[in-house]
Amino acid sequence: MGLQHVRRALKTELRAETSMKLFDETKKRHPALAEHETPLSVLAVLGDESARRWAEREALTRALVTEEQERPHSLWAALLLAAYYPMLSRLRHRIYGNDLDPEDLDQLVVSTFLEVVRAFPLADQRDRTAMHLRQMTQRRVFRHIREEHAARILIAPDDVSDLPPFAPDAWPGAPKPRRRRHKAGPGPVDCRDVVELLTARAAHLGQDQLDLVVTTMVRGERLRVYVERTFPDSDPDERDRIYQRLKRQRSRTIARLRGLLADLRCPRSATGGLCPSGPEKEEASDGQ
Amino acid sequence: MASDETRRALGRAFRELTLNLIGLFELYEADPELVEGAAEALGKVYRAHLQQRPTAPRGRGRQAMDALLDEMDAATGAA
Repeated sequence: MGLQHVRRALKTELRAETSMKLFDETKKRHPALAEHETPLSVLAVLGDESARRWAEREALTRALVTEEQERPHSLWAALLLAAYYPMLSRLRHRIYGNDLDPEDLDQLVVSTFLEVVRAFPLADQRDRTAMHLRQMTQRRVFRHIREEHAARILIAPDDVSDLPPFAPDAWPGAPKPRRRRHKAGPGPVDCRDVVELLTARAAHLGQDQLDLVVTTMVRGERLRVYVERTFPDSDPDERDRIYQRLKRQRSRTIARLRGLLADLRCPRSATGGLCPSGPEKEEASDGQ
Repeated sequence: MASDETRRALGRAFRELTLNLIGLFELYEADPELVEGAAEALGKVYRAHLQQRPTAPRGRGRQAMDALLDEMDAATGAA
């Protein structure tokens, strides 16, 4: 079931009369829900990423997660999926590769998110619920993809012609090849440490802003390509305007990140970059 | 002029209506022009009822309804 199909199903669920009755009943248990007449109103607040409504979003998210855990119903899952649809869509479109069909990827993202919701430790994680839901979903999705990829590599080919080219530097004891610069950026699973750092330090900047920086600067996707991929239905003029807007937005985000990550700057580096870690130090001394 | 209690009740109703429209527009990925038009029309009626001069910046496209909601919250001190 693709993400678009999920969205259509959500509309049906949120309009159902039984959903309204259940919502009215549940409002008596949760003060955060009692402020709202309809699930659509809840959806509006959950979709507002401004700092002003952060506390209300947090309370609503926790109320919905509680209900889904204690009295599971398709309404709560529908509301949470509708509210987090932009995040799930962004996560889905950061995944490349042929290990899973596109529809399987959509289903993986949706089902993983709901698993995370149902197992979320509300008693242990008492704040930043939205951030933890997002991080946990990302981690599980990427772990599943890595496992899927590893399983495919381990399957022996039936035909000799399926074997990869002979690579003597892969033999044990062979000298390690010099590290080459890759034109394409690292895969999404290689960026998780950076993503976690940015999310922990700069979540308040907004998920859209962070995603843009991660996609274009950490993973190395060109901004033009990102715009073409994310706004495929826009005409060229509109895409150009979007490109310019995102370029300015990214510059502002980077300027703010520099301030937030200032304490990580390497005091020994003239350029002010991060201090190299152990393996990177060795490579640096080898002239890499 | 309506009493304070009536104005507050109507103000809450307008706020709830705005929230519902925002949710609906999000769910159906409404066209930005529709969102902006709805915010403009609803905002005019809301400001006429409260007899306040508009001071908040108007949003554009899909942000227009959010900007109207902020204006309502600021007027009631709920922000």
